[in-house]
Amino acid sequence: MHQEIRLKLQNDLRELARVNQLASDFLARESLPEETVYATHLALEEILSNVIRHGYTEAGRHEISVRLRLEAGEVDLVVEDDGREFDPLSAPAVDLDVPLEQRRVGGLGIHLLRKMASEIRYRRVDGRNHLRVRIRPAE
Amino acid sequence: MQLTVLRADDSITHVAILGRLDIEGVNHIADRFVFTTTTPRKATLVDLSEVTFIASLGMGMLVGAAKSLQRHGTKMVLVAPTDLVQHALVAAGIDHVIPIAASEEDALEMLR
Repeated sequence: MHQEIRLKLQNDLRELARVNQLASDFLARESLPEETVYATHLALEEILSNVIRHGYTEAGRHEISVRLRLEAGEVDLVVEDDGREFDPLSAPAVDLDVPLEQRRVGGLGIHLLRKMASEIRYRRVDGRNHLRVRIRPAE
Repeated sequence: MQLTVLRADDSITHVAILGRLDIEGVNHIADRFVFTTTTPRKATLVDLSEVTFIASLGMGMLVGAAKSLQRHGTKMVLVAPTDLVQHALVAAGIDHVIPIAASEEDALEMLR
């Protein structure tokens, strides 16, 4: 038994507030641990803002699909977009041990996604990125 | 999203952020936050007790301001984040480069 919602948004950062609210309403139906809810919001924010800010080289409108599923207390998130090919699993690891003066201001989004997710899978199919992220409550 | 200046004198800049430090929140306060915290070039406390969410852009805003302060020989301390926000900050290794204090008193001690 599972519950899910499917959302579509435009490649416009102003869409994130609407997605965030819909995700909040959906996640509130289940008594998930607050850490799981937080991690899900973080995954949505990092993935969608990354796609919208970096995924498109031209200014046209594009549609991004989100599927959020709850199954046995686990969150299963799938984001599909037609932006440029990008596998977050191929991104180099962030060096957290460098001193402040050498620390990059950006580049933490994928690192956070990796830290918060229990599983990340990426495929490129028919010109679309398919990113699947599973978030399991901490034991 | 709100940024409140709690104290700004010859020795300390103390600000509080309220709300979500997601992309929308950062876009809303980033310019004012950077100006308020880095222009005086004083030791800076950033109260995060009313921040309900922080994403990578919010962390980048904090790191950018902390780097600027460090270049001028002073530093930033983050104060009283909630457990969830602290967990995210630690996951991103922010605690390696900006100290996190449980209270204003502890933060002031760190600055001595």
